[in-house]
Amino acid sequence: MSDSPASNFPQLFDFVFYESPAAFDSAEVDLGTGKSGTPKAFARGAFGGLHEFPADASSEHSESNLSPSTETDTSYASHTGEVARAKAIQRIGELKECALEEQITINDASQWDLLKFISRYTSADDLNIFLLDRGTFRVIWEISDACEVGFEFLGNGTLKKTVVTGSLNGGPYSAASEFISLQVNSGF
Amino acid sequence: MDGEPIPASDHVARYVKPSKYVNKVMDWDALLPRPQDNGEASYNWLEYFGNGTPQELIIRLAASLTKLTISKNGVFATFNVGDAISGMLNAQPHIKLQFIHTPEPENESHASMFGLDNLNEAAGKFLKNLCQKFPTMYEM
Repeated sequence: MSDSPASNFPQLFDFVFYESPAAFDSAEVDLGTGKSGTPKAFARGAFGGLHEFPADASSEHSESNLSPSTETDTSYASHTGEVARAKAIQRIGELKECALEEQITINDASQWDLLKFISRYTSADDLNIFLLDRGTFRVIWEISDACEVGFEFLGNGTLKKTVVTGSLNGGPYSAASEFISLQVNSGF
Repeated sequence: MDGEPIPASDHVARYVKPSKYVNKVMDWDALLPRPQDNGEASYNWLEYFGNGTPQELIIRLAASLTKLTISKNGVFATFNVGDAISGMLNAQPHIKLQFIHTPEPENESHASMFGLDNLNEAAGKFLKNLCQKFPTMYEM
């Protein structure tokens, strides 16, 4: 399995998410500490409203580790986010080449929403961006061995959030999806 | 052995394109059939190439795929057929996977996985958890 950190799950950008009735509110999945020490507060954020997302207490990027809040904090976040954003833009370029080779027609509205998402992304961690056969883009966060979260950018400000749970240790694998809208506070 | 099931003790492999693999992370549909495949996912039967370690067999497989453009940013994913069938029954009890040798011109080791559609993200996660990944090493 990948050792990709979970701390790049969206928690720092300025999106305002308007969720449908929380489909995951009842999903009391015990993620334990996760493979990267993800606390349960993180799980609540993943399964609940993102606008209520609490700071990840174990993350090196947690705001609680950056006290007091100063301009240095801001520059740190800006700098690190800048690198991740640049890599994400580069990845989109790669995926456009893939689309040509695989004869996939890119959904422009999906790409636009992904670009807006990236423009507000301030975590240091790289985004795992994929191109789906139907031409839309998806970002996946590996929260733990047992839980992954994906955002598929459907275009026109709509995301399909999917949570997939299950591990090789046994038990069923399941996936649950909901559609959420995003609104960017400032234009891209 | 055309049309015959792949033995449970054997392995299948699939080349995963860079669009489905980045930062050592695989997309959920990387090992599922594509929408246009109507539930038949393309794999290759590794033991068709004889005995050897998975790495050795993957190298022989890669050399045999003359019609496929293999990128250094892609990856080969491989898993044991029996583990996939039994594991999937635990992961999703209503799904019974089948692996059939379906040779094609210039791709004699071609095999097909049946039993899944392209939208089963949970099954896709199971397969990506199960598989071993081998870098393509170089452009071929």
